[in-house]
Amino acid sequence: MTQLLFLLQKEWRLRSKPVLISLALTLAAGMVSWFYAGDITSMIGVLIAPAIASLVLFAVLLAGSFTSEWQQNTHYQLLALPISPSLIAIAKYLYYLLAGLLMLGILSFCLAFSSSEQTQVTTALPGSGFSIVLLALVCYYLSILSLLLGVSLFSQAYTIGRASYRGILSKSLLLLLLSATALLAVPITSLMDGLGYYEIDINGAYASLTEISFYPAFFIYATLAGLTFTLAGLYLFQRRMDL
Amino acid sequence: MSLIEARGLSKNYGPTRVLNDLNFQLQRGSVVGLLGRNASGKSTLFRLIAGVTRPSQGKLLIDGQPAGPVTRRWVMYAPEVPCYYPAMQVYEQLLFLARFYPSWDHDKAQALLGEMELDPKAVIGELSKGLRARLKLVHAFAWDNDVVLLDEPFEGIDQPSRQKIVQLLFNEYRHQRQTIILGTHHIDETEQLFDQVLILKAGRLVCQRPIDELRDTYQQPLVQTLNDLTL
Repeated sequence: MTQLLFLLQKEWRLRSKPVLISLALTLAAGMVSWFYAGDITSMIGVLIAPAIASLVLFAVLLAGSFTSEWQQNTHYQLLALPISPSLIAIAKYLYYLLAGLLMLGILSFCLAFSSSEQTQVTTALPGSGFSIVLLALVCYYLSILSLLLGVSLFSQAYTIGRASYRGILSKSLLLLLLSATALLAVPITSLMDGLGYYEIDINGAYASLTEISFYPAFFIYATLAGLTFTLAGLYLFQRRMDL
Repeated sequence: MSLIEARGLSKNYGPTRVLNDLNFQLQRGSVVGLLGRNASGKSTLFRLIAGVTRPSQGKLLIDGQPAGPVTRRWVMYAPEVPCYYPAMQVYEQLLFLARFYPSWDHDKAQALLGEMELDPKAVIGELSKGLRARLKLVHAFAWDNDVVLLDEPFEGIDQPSRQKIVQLLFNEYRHQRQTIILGTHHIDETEQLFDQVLILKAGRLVCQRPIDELRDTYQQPLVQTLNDLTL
């Protein structure tokens, strides 16, 4: 456990800049939106771009953190440490998972900041207006984050140790796996249709949002796919991290 | 009992056999010269002893245990390539390593930094090749390990400093239980340190003998013997 903390500290020391910048920019965008509009619908409109960008960014940064270890030959010192090779991968994965959770915290904070009694949320889901919006945000963000980080980890693990075309191969694999996951989403989530599909209408002071849906089958599918890729990636790291 | 033992040790990378059926034993506290021409398999053997790669066949035992995560607790491995984080300062890098080795001696590391004329606040990416090589030596001797694996540790260090550093490390900082395996092309400068020599040729062990025996047999400098055995 302490070794994991030391590895996380190292990731923070070396790779905090892009994470901090993305968090700060999102918070700034949220605050500017609140200042000028002060309404949850406009806040969602403003935050959707940084939310999606952060998901992609963290997955790309996770892949890049492995690549940079190999490019700088620092993987020699990591693999020579008295720890399991998969712990190195777990630390990198957790670092970007924590970054995602921080981003989720900022997004939730911005939404909470802009919610008001004027906002009306209409849905078949039980619960109060703002809590439904927050629940949808948490479920979407975490399930997609889990999927993207898992695929990124797996594509790195699969291509690790390859001397040639590693970059192209890992990027191609990442796109291939994401496409395959998207293609399989419809038939697999249809098996879980019993879990329901809930539309959420948000009517704010200045605008309305009617295109949001809460789809538990998708959250379960994306989260499980992400976990599967993560576990398979960690297994591959343990087996193949070899100089 | 030997500290390091190879039994039928072979390593393949894809279809290429890099090391072929090595058998040897190294005693605790000895200084071993691992010699050979380029691509003879020296770096691969270092990696196997360090436990950062697995044998394709055979066994590599350190203190009776297969080389791996467990044995890495008392094995220090400095590869030929620069392996430290360029964005870190020297002290940050050493602190990161120290956290994984309970026997790390911060006072000794501090003293070694002074001896190696390394500024703890210097950014590693801005260090010269020679200073980076000195950092490897601080990493090697700042903790109480049993095995030190140094693959071309003196590259980039100027000749007068090299001799001074070698004498200092081996006479003052090395402890007697430490087995040091040194792979170097500066044979004439390090020859006097060796107790034993392993010579590899195209992945095969062509010589494993105590240095005195080798000198008695060949009656010539070690570098000449290496040439004779590996040509």
